[in-house]
Amino acid sequence: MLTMPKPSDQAAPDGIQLPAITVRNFSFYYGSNRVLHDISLRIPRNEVTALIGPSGCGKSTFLRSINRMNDLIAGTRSEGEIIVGDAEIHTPATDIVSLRRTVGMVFQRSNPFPKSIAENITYGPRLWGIRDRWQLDQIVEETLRQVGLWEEVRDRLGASALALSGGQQQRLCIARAIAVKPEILLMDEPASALDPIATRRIEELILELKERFTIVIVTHNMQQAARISDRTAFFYLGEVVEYDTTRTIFTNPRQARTEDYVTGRFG
Amino acid sequence: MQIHLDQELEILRRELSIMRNLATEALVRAIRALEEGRADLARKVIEGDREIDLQENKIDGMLLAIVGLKQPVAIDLRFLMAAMKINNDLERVADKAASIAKASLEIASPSSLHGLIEPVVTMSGHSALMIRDAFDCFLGKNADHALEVISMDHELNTMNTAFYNTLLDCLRASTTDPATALALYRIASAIERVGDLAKNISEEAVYYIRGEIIRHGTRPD
Ligand SMILES: Nc1ncnc2c1ncn2[C@@H]1O[C@H](COP(=O)(O)OP(=O)(O)O)[C@@H](O)[C@H]1O
Ligand SMILES: [Mg+2]
Repeated sequence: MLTMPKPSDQAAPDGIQLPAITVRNFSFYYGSNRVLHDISLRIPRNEVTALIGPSGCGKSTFLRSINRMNDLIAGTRSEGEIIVGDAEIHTPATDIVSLRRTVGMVFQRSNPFPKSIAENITYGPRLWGIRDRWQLDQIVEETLRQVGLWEEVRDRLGASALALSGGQQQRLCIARAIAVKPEILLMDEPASALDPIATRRIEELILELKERFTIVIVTHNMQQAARISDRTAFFYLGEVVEYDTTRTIFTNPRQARTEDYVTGRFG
Repeated sequence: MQIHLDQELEILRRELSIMRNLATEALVRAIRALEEGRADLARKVIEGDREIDLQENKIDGMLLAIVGLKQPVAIDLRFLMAAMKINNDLERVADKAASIAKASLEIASPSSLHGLIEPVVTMSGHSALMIRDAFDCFLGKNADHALEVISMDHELNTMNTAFYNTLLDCLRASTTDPATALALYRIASAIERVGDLAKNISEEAVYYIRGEIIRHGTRPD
């Protein structure tokens, strides 16, 4: 679904040749409250991009803008462009259902459906018209393997997803998100409710998944951003103060505000 | 959390200043031992090296704990990386002071060495100044002056080359005993190395302050 960017994008100074997502002068409003200010950035394919910043600075709003999840909230409005692959996502021609298939989402609190493990996975593919039993079984096994859950649950695929541990539930939610073969995965603090071991497994999983998907993750855990992301955007008061390689952000940021934030000397 | 890190960094700064004082004092004393022909002072410098080694280890332990427990990033991390290297540089300055002290013990009567002690004293004063300035630039976050200290190293190298030629002349003219000339040569070389260490410290200061690696004449793009 994603195709080559327009030539004009290729000479951009950030050196990203193949953006999965290009954001241009994007602003977002809840009613009259403008919470994102003129954001422009390009997110490369098959990389993990972390969004960091203090609470309320607009990270989740930005993340949800990428698959237009904010549309579900009354009174919201946006300006500017978000291009996923080669298509601007706010045009009359935009098919929102297809956009959300291309851009999957995983939330902070694992929220499996109160159904069986297998049904959680097959929900999306069924929605997309796959009815063949054998094919659905294939998808269940394949996605559960991808998230490292197969060996743990293969004997109880019919059991309720809610019986899984928190970490397993979160991996199931990731499996559910990738079952429809998206290109981009948005994750909003996916590990913040998990213990360190479950967190480590999610982090390892993210690093595996970036081979196949483009991942944008909001995290409050700065060390996590440093461990798993390739690029980091520092959000503050609805603006992107600095966006660079994670290595630069955590070793030698250009902006004083970024340095104050990552070293914990903020405000 | 951050208050704790700042407090620990402050303690670290104090311990590094102690390390700097110990190292420069050793250097100054070693030269005085040479100048005044005082074997007692030379022995003190040689014995004092142990204390400096212990101080180095103490600082290393603090660095390890801060990096491991506080997980510093950005400027804090660069400060700690620079501190780690500077700590080691200062320990080597003290080693050089001990080498100078040892060599001075081999020189029987420095007062008879007309014209050969003064250049060494000048060089050592220059090198001690470089160490002091480089270190102050590190703690005072003064990258501009740190770059000046780096350029001071050329002068020291020039003085060293001139001194080497003087020694050669003395040896050819047989006005100096060869063992003494060799001891003086070792002392001058040690001082020249101190200048290099001051240069290292300055480079590490610039790295910490600006995030730029200027060592080996390289600048990142
Ligand atoms: N549903 C909403 N309705 C109105 N305002 C909202 C809504 N969600 C978030 N906001 C406001 O938008 C700003 C950004 O919030 P958010 O995107 O959740 O920030 P972050 O994820 O960085 O904590 C905040 O001031 C918040 O109060
Ligand atoms: Mg949020």
